[in-house]
Amino acid sequence: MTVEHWFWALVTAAVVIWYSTITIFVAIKGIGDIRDMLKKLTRLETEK
Amino acid sequence: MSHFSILDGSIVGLYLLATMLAGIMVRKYVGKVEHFLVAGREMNVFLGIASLAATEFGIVTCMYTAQNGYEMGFSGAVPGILMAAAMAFVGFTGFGVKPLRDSGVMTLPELYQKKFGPRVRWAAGVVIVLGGLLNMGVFLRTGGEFLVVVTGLDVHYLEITMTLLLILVAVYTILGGMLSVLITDFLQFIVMSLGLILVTVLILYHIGWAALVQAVQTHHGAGGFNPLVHPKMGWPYVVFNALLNLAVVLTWQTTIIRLLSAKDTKTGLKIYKGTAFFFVCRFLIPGIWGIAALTTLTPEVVGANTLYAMPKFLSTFVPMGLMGLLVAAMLAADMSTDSSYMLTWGSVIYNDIMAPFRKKAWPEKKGILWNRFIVAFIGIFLLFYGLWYPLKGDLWTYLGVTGTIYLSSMSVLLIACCYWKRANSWGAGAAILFGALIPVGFLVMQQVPATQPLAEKIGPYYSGIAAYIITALAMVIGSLLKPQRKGA
Repeated sequence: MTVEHWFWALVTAAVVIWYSTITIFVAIKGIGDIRDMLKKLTRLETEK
Repeated sequence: MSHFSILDGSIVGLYLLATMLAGIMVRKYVGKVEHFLVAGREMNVFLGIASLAATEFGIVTCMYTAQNGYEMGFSGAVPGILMAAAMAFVGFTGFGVKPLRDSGVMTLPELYQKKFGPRVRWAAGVVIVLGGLLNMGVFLRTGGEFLVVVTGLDVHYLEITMTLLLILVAVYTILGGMLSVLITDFLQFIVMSLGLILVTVLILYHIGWAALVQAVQTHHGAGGFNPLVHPKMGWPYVVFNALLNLAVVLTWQTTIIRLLSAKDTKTGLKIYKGTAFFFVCRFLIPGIWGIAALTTLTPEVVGANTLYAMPKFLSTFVPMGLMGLLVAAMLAADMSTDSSYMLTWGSVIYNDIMAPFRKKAWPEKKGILWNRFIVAFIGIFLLFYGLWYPLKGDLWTYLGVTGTIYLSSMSVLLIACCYWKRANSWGAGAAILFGALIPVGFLVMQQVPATQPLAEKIGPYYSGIAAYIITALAMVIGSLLKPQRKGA
């Protein structure tokens, strides 16, 4: 294995691990973001 | 024979129903134009990451990056690394985008008006919409072709299938604007990511890393791992892609609309930082799929057009059940891109191109109605231009030219607007003109027999680099030529 082979092996491993982690993280935290956004828009609408 | 079964069809149907319902449900929250275009600027970090990632990954992206993997090996994923670096740089420093978000504008040309005047705003709006819409015009057909190959769908149903899909996307985008886009993007990000990760893991498990590396070594040699020694790439490819990706991060309207929809500048920058590494995934994951096609398929099976190598490989490699998730993932990728692009280019038409017609502020209801009409009009344009009118000629050149027309001038304008006091409307006008002339001139040179050899000698990368340099020079020279007002 050359340096380039190792480089792409590491990048591929990082991609699989990072992407799996961020998907779970965003899936959980994103629901909270949606809830907060819609709550805020409702509040602004009723304050008018 | 494709592995697409009734079970897979049911998974896809369920996904489409869930997306449609979620998209339509949020329409009741749209009370103002600002809600429709930038979600009332209430978007937080994780929703922003999901939306940006989902928008910037469509089937057309998957097809070209997989083709890069097939034809250039791992070196084909280098633009993804460059884009991630550009996005991280901008996210950490706030270069260009911090003053943009701080200004409180809804579109890029709106910012330009503050520095260069209303004419430049209008001209910038026209360039953005022309470049963006022409670029987007090819998405629908390419997406349809992918689905036909992967699912084994009769090619005669391509137009009907993609038309129905576009109508579905248009309905929820017209009703809910950016709010529908964000909610559906969130769902689409999850479905898309599941599909992308599972198929990649399956490839790595069944075909194996060593076989993929061996295939790249055999077909491309050292150039398959290092773009600098690849005969078709070299440093001009790397420099051009570095400039192109920095320009995308700074000015591509569908990217910066996330920054402009964020609840504040800090949140916008966090979205950039959080999404940066996704762009490595965006290029490397389909790249690995393309390399897997290179490893397992014979050139006879692939045929003359290597664009179809990856879908041909997936059609027989992915098992039943997972095939449904893959198709749902790809539909998710395409729908999120289409909805966001329709809304984004529509926002520039309403906010900037139509600005001279709104001497007085319009009532919110009238503004929302006009925005809905514009999104519907873009949908109709896409249908006829992109789907029912097959494009002739080289698609990659087409995408590159339409993208560069917009990106070179808009990025130069943004940097000058934010960081150069002396920049003025003459410089901006010259930059817009040269930013369009150079890529179009190169395309014409490629078509005219007398200039073809010269165009080949120059190549697309030197021409692309020249577009950025000459556009920047045009901005400097034009600005310096304009007489300064006394006391200015």
